[in-house]
Amino acid sequence: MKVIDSGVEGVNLAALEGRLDTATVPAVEPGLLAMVAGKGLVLDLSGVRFVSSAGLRVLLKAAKAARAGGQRFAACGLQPAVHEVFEIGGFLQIIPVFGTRGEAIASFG
Amino acid sequence: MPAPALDLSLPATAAGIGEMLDRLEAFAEAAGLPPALASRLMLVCEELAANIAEHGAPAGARVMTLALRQEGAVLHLTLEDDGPDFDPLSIAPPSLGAALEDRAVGGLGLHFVRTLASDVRHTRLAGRNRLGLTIGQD
Repeated sequence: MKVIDSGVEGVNLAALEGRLDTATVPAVEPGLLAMVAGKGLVLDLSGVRFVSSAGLRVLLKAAKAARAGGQRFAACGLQPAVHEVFEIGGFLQIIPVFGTRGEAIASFG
Repeated sequence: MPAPALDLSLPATAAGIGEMLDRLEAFAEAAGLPPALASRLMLVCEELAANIAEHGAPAGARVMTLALRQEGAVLHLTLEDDGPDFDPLSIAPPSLGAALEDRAVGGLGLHFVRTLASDVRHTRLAGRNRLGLTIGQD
């Protein structure tokens, strides 16, 4: 996970890369959950080419942790295949999804 | 030229799933699969293999094998494991309408299998689960 300066106070920005699946999520989860503690998080998924239900489970956990802490959580830059996974899994209704980082950050305003 | 094919035998573990996905990505690239079909192939295989690693392995499953045959725009898959008798299709579909707080992700993987694969059939053969299925582009 690459952490990037969002340029906005109280908002974390991070980018994930590669695959988000059973084999890779254990390494991603702790860092992701830390990013929603005390700040909002925009997660850039443009470098992610594959998400499975194991990946969705971690995103759901982060979304729930953000909600519980009164923080915002959004994703952006979904590749078409990843967008299909969100759609079939019903995740477009539970995680706000935007085209770009800028749109996602602006939605927190 | 013979039809593109892939045969894998892997440990029923998270590391085995990682290797399976590496090999499937390489196959999809070599076979020139359309991205949407490649993605569905990887998703269906990952969900079924994750199910074996998560539920079958603690009950004794050690090895999973995957046989893939391409027939034009259609992929035929056979996935086997040496775990206890289990038909993934027997699991009830998840509730996708639930709000964030109530949302459970259990069962979601098999929902992907049901949605993206067709002709899914489970048989029990010589102490092994065999799941046959077909994946197409729409």
